[in-house]
Order: sequence, then C-alpha cells, then structure tokens
Amino acid sequence: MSTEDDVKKLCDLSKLEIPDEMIMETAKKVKDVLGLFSKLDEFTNSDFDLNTVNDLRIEKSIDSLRADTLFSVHVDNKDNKFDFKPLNSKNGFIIGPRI
Amino acid sequence: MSQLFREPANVIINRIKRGELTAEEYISVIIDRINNMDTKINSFITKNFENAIKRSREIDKKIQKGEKTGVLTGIPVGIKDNISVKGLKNTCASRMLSNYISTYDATVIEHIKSEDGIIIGKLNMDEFGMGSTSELSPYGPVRNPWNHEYVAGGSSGGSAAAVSSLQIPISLGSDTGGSIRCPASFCSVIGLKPTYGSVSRNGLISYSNSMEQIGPIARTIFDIVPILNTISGEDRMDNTTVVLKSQYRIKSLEEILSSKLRIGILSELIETSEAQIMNGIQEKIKVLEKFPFDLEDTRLGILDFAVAAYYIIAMAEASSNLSRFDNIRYGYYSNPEGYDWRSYFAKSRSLFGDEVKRRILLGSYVLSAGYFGKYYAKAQIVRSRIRNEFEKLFMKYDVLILPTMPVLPFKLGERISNPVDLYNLDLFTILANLTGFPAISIPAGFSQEGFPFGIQFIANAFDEQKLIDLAVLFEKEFDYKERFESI
Amino acid sequence: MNTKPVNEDLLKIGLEIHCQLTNLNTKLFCDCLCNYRNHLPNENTCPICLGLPGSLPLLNKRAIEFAAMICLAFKCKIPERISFYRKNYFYPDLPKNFQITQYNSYETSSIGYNGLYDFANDSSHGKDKSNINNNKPTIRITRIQLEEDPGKVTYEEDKSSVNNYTLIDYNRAGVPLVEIVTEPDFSNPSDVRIFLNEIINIFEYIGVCDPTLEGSVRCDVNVSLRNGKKVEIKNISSFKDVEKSILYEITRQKTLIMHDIAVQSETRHWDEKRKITIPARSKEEEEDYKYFPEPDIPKINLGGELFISRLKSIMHELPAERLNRYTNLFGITDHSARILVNSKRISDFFEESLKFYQSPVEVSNWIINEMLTKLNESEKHENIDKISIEKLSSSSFYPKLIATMARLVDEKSINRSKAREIFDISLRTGEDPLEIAKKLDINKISDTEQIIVLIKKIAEDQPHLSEQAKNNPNVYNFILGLIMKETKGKADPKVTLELIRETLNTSS
Repeated sequence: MSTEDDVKKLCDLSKLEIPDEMIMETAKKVKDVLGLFSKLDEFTNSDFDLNTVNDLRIEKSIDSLRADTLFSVHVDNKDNKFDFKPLNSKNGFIIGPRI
Repeated sequence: MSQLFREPANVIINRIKRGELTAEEYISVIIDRINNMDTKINSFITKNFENAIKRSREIDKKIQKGEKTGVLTGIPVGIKDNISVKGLKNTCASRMLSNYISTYDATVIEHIKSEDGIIIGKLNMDEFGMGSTSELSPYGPVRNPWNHEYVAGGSSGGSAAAVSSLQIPISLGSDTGGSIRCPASFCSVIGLKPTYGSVSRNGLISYSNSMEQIGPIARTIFDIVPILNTISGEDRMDNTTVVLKSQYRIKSLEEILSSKLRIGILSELIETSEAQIMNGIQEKIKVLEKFPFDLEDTRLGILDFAVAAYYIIAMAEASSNLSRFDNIRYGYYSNPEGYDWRSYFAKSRSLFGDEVKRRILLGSYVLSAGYFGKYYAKAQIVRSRIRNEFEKLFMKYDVLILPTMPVLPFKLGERISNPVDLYNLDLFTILANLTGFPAISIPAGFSQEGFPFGIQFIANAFDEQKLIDLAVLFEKEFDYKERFESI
Repeated sequence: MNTKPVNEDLLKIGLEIHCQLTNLNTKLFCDCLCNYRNHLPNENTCPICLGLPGSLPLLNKRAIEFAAMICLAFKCKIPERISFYRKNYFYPDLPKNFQITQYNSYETSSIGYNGLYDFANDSSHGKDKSNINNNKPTIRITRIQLEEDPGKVTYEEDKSSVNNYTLIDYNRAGVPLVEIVTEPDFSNPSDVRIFLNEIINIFEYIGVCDPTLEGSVRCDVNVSLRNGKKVEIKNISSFKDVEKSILYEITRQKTLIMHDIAVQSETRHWDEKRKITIPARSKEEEEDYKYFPEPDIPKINLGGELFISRLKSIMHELPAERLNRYTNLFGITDHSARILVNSKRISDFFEESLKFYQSPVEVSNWIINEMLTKLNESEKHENIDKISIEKLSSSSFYPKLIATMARLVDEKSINRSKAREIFDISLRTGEDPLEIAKKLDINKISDTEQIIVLIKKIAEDQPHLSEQAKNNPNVYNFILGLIMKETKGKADPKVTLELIRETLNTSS
C-alpha cells in the first residue's frame, strides 16, 4: 500500500475522487503516515490478542437507556419542530442516483 | 471607543445583572470589535449579529422585569463551526457542507441559550477538525493574534484566536487530540478539554468520536467555570454521557491550599520541548514550590507508540464518520440525476480537502480485512496501556504537569507540507484524548520574540475541579492580562 | 422442480432471518415511529434516523428486551453485556453509510448466541404427516443480533434502465431488526418451510412482530451440496418463495456438478418474476465491511440472571410450552393440541373459552370440530357473511358460547346434533345458547304417546328388531336413530330411549 495504484484502489473503495495530478503526492504522504504507523510493529508486548478489541467504551446499565415512548427525545414544541429541506426532492421522496 | 471588550465575562455578567450595563450595549461593543478585528484574524465563518442583538434585547427585558437570568447573562459565545446551531450554517470548514444549515441545536447550545448566553457566530477551524494549525480551511487560515503571519494553532484556531484578540470573552471548541489546548497555547488563552463523557456531543459533528469532547476557551479561569458548568452533565441525547457529582466552582486560595495537592512533573516531556518553553515551564514549576504541594518528577512509559496509536484510531473513526457525507440528503448543491450511485458518491466526495481525503483513505485502510489486527486492534491495546499507566500515576498524583505544545507558534505555511511532522507535535495533547482524562492548557508566558506558550495539567477522570484549582493559583501568580494591551 | 433431494447430496442449508420488531413504539435509535407504514415519504424521520451531522444513536431499551425474548425462544445464551459495531459500506438507502449492528468476531457482542431449535418440540409438524420423521435435525442457532433497517429505494418507472434517478424514502431507516442466523443444519427444503412457519408463530406468541405486515419478516438462504462452496440467495421477498429458491438452487448446482463445473462461492439474487436465482455481483466487489466498535453506544450491561428471569416473567408462553401443557396437563390428544397451538389466535381463543368452563377436552373438541369447520366453510363460500377468527376473538361472546356448548354436552342435557343446531343458531343470531335450548325444549316432542306410536310402527315393520334387542343393546340406539330421523331430531333422546326399552320389553 502506497503505490499510486494502491491509492487509486483505495479511493474507489472509499468513494473518493482524487485528481490524477494529486495521486503521486497523496501516495507519498500516505506512505509517510504508514511509516509513522509502522512504529507499532515495535510494540510487541507479549500478553495481547489481536483478535479482540480492547477499546475504552464505558459500560452502562440497560436501565439507563431510553424508554420506548414517543416524544421521549424530540419534545413536541413548536420551536423544535424538525424542518429539514433535502437537497433534491420529488413528492416527498429524496432524489438519489441510479443504483 | 468603549474598552468593554477587554473585560472578562464574569465582570460583564454582574454589571448586566445589576442593571449597570444593558446586554444590548455590550453586544454592540462586541460587534464593533469583531468588525474591526476579524478582518485581520479571520476567526469567524458565520456571524450571527442580527439574532444576537435580538436576543440581547430579550435578556434586557427579562432583567427590567426583574426575572431571574442565567449564569451567562448577556455573554456572547463563539461556537466552533462543527457544533450545530439551529438555523446557522454548519460548514465544519469544508466545501462539502458549505451550504448546510443545522436543523437543531447541539445540547451545549441549548444550555448556553437557557443560561442567557448569546450565540454570536460560528468560528473557523481546520476542516472537520483535522489539523493543528487552522490553515486547512476553505475560508482561509486563522491568524495568530500575537503575530498575524503565524498560525493560531488548531483545529479550534478560530475559537482561541477570537478570544485571544478580545473579540469575544468565551468560545467553545472541540478537542480530539489537542484541538482546544494547542490553539490555547499558541494564542495565550485558557482551553479545557473535559473528561470524555462529561459534556454532551449531541450536535458536534463527529471526527473521532471515541476521543473528542466539546470544551470552553476563555482568557481567565473565572470565565471557564460558568461556561463549563453550563455545558457539562448527563444528556439523554448522548448515550456516552454520565452523571456528574457536582458543579465546578472557584475556590478561595485558602481552600485550595488546605488540601495538599500531589503533583507529578513529566520532566522528560518538558525537557524535549523547545528551549524557551522548557525554561519557561521549569520556572513556573519552581514558583509552585512555595506552596505546600508534593512535587515530584515522574515519567510515562510507552509514549513512543502514542502518536501512531492516536492517529490510527482517529483516522479509522473519521473514515466511518465522514461516510455519511454523500450529498444525497444534504450538503452542497448538486444533482444526482443521471449518475450511477458509485460515481455520484465519488464525484460528490471529491470536495473534501486533501488532508481529509488522506485521513479517510488511511482510516479505511487500517480497518480493512487483513490489516485490522496490525493497526486498529494494536492501537487500541496501546491506548489501554497508556490509560493503565495514567491510572497508576493518578494513584500517586492528583495532577500531572507537562507542556501543552513542544513548540512555539510557527509561520503560516511553514509545516503544512509535512503531515507526519505536524502529527508528532501532538504527542503532549493526545494523551488526554487517548485516555479520556481532562486536561487544561493555561498561558505560561511568552518567548523572547513575544510568542505565547501554554502549560498543561492533566487530572484523573472527572477531576476537573483540581485543574481549576491549580489554574486559579497560576492565574493569581502570573497574570498576563497586561499583555493583551498589545492586541 | 420436483427434485426430492436425498442425503447423498449432502445438502446443507442455512438461514438468515430478518424480523422487524414491529410491536415497538419507536425506532432503534430515535423516537420516530417504528410503524413507518402508511406515512408520506420521509415524513417519519428526524436528525438521528436521517443521519444528519452531529446526531447520535439513542438506544431503545425495549428493543433489547424484545430481541432477548426471541433469544429465549430459541434457547440462546444471553451474555452479561452486549455491544454494537459499525458495518461500513456505502449505499444510498443507508443514511450514515454504515449500519449499526452487532458483531461477534472480537467479542461476544450479540444479544444471543449458541441457540437451538428442536423439531421434536415444534408445534407444527403434525399438520403435515409426510414430514413426520424421527431423524429430524436439530437446528443450531449461531447468533441473534439487533440492528437497524435501512431506508427504501424505489424507481419511478418499472424498468430500471429507463430511470435517470431513484426515489429514496428513509421512513424505514432505523427500524429495529433482529437477525437470526442458523448453522447450515437443514438438509431438506421442506424443513425450512416448517421452520419459517414456526418462527412466525413464535413471533406472534411473544408479541414482538406482526408477521402479516409486508416486509416485516425476510429470509436469506445459503445452500451447499456435497461439501462444495456455499451460495447465498438474497432478495427473497416472500416465504413461499424460499422453498422454491432452494429447489432451484439445488437443481442449478447439481447441473453444474454434473458438467464438472465447480460451484462458485457467491451471492445470488432471487428473481421473483422468473423464479430463478441470478448472480448478484462479481467477486471483486465482495465487500469488506470494516467492522469496528461503535463509539457512540456504551457497552450495555444487561444485569445477568435477574434480567433473564424478569423477561421470562413478562414473556408470553411459547407454543412448545403450550403444546406441552395441553397434552400433559389437559390430556388433549397430540393432534388436537397441535391444531390449537399452531395459531396463537386459536390457542388464545381456547384459553379464553376455558375461563368460562374448565373442560379442556370438550372445549377443544368444540373449537376444532365445530368452530374451525365453520370457519373453513365460510372461507369457501363467497356469498355468506365471512366469519373470521379475528371477529370471533373480538368479544367474549364467542368463547363463552363455545364454553356453554361444551358444558351442555358434558352435562348430557342435550345431544350432540341438537347442540350443533343450537350452536348454529347462536352463531347466526347472537342469541344465548341456553335461551335457544329452552325454546327448542318447548318444541320438543315430549308427548310419549306419539313416540310410542312410532316405536310400535317400527317394531311392526321390522319384527326382527325386538328379537335382536334382547342380545344386542345397540339395537335400541339404532331405533332411536330412526325415530330421531322421523321426528327431525325433536324427540328427547333420553325419554325416547327409555320408551324404546319399555315398549320392546313389554311387547315381547
């Protein structure tokens, strides 16, 4: 990863367009950052398992969660009425590209 | 011209509440100041002056009627442009969202409004918070108030510079890896990143949502406390917030000194900073010795891996968080008719800036099958290790001291072409984001050339009060207020 | 299409069933209506389910409880804590371009895992005798997970190629879905059908989902033959087509194998109109979903045994549990019990009737032999007023009616054919059966003289009867039948029988 072809492929997967003249620079900078990331290769402390995710999410009790009631989140007051105008719409539908 | 804009918020609030000054008078002084100053600083993306005047009149009416008003009565608050304010543009300094108007108020905005604070405008930043200089904005770079050819720091550069240049007394920024504290250090203001989970992120446009928090910026700790109290606390709109025990407050010197604070000094980090910063901070620490504190040198292990771990996690989350910007439901004006969805997405998303694009690419790379363990999972392990190290230190110390930034502000454009160099400058600030712990940057002096630098305190989770206590002491000892005369 | 797969094909079928928790009030992460049907497009949306910048998911507590009930129904283990993951992929119907779901590769994140479904205990197979088979497999449930439904993309014109754009409705986005994933333990397409019916029945019992709503229950299938590659079939819009799609796929794969062509591991779509499977996308495009933990949702501690026992206490009895109670406690035959349990409405009707008269066997007879027969007849006849189980369940009148009929018969105050007559009238007029019985009693021929005349006439017409009656008491009943026919059932059977005995004995 870091050749121009790699970058193009990754752009495709990430649904990004990078102009041709920027591909080379992008590839170079991506390579630099991966160089920084490869620092972690030196981190070889014995007792960890890369097949688990040991993230720092907090834990909450199920009782702390929202009850299944209407208007529990969006209090029905005039000021807070949800007024959203989509970019392109037709008869209430939002217009999307072909699939 | 009135010099009211020099006054801190806590002084103004009292004068407005006592009827010595109307909110409208004050807001018009502030508007004048912004109009005069911001052409040089470029801290505002959207100005909300009309609404602000309207709001100030409503507050004045309340006061005339003898109604109770809130802790931010009449105070204009500037908001980083990644925090939603209903009816205002919410660009995140991205061309992707150049026309996007928020349909709702972030929880912190609701709270500010209900405490009679006034939303004065939306502030410039690095696109989506991805940067540490506030140069990566389609609205142009934010300029450092102390030298307009220099960077203000980032990504909340507009928030720090607007406060530093005496345009507004208080602003909100967001801090993912130092985005509040870095510009606070570069602009000589106070910036606080609260404990993860203590301030609602509802309405904050996510960049790296496991690490970022909204936090306040002000010129004095006396102004940090009311805004921090206003925005903190559990929110039913953010499942990751938690209930806080009590309100923060400014304690008297006696009260602060009555408990013997144990302070750990991260000397290694101080010594690896630029010489002037090292000397300045060591000097400040010497002054602390006259207080009855336990001061001790200490160190952190596995710091070598912190920057890599931070950027892996931040980019991974960013790649996912920024996926929603596909220009179908909202965004900038474009029409999907005639496009296949894949090409429409790619075309629409080409308006992200280069840095943002690279972070999306790298982020999806580190999450992809086959690399997940090598990068993301490992980064999370490093993150847990760092947190464990800090927890151990907090058994011995109440507060850790280190510089905010290892460098002084640098020239606009000077470092922009080398991302990895910039990333490495974040080492001191990302620690609080990786661990979730609260951290504050307070002004620690100026270099010979007149550039400010900050000192940073980190405390255990939900120990913001200790940061405030120490900041109060510092402010009593070293008041840089007169420096602002030069602005 | 009548391929009867035999075991040497080593047919293995696995299922992924998606079920909307339609009986919730609100969506999984916001308080928009869970019932998105019958709204104007995009009317049932908010910043959260539209994925507007800055909005955060707010987890619905009851959605977790509903999902956990499904887990209990399939004997899944429920972990101490659950968590959520992001499944990252781009698609215009996904407001955030990722789906919040659960994922077990790095930890046990899903609400349920390691479940079982045992055909031996299921309530439905008795219906279809051809499927009674002692070596029915036990189906292992890999996991049950909670996730959000995407929006809906439609075209203006039927033919997709002429459309320049799509129309997107996000009303469905964020509706809670439970996904049930089985191991490939099915070896027979008809077992799949039975299993799906049973799943629908279970959903109705525990009241989490109304399977009659269009699109509320969906099923993906994977099929492999002779330990070959697994082929997934998606987009099967109706349960009826599930079996068809499997049969088609078996034929397709067999044909490939016959021609020595290797079966590719791929995803295929079911073409509803042509009733065939077609390739969905090429292999290069197989997605990498880049799962990672959802930072916006904390890990949720369910509370262990306490959570499970509380759920069990509020959970509706499962069909298998009912079946067991009906056969073991009530002594209803297995066949009858299954008919009752197979439909929650009928079974509930039965339970309701028992409240008026605690005689399970007779009450079940009335429901199965009389009421259901009536319902079936009314189904067939266009012109008469349709009676439906819904209508019958809607008031307590009908359960009470059934209970009364059972009591009348039990207490032998009435004969069965008379009872049927009363039942008919009551069903038609809504009159109290006891009143009807009284009225009919008045018309009853209790004039013994008239009956004796009839008996004597029969005895004269068929003289051998008197002789036979001495050895065979059934003759009395035979004569009773003749008299009932003659009197159109108006004769009181008890009295008549007594008279027959007397008359024949005295005449001899």
